[in-house]
Amino acid sequence: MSAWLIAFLFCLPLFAVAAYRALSGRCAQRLVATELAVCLGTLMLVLASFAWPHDGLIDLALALGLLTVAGTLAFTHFLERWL
Amino acid sequence: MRAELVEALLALAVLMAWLGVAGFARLAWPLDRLHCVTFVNVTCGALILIAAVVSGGSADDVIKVVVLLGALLVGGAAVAHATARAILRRAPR
Repeated sequence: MSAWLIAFLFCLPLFAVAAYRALSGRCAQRLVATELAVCLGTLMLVLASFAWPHDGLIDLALALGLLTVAGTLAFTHFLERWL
Repeated sequence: MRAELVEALLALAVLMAWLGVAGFARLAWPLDRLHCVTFVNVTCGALILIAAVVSGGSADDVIKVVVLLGALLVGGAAVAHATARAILRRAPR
């Protein structure tokens, strides 16, 4: 078992905590928890891409990291103005 | 020597992630929790990037990790400030 895979497995409980917090609580707390879950998910995808050498995983992490910025900015704009 | 260094960097990254999530669970106010998100973003991203470079992965993968870390750092700062602004407008302390 490689160090990348072990690091990936150690991050799984953290992702579960962030996902649980994102599913419960008030709106602002859920938004922050979602950001933490996405951050951990992106880093876990990078770890997984080195643990299992496959072209798709690192591209998936890159797409998630880039799309999250635009998506979260749009959501905060809606949250601030209309929701 | 290189493998041990990669293991140490990854262990440090996981430790920082646990520390950030512990702070996230401990703090109550969403603006305080944003600091934990940024802490995880910066420390883990940088440590994983260094580990990827040291491990001698392919150049394509390392370049993609560099681009990803740049997006996380620059975009994460913008997202954190936009989120804090929205939270303050919606639910002032």
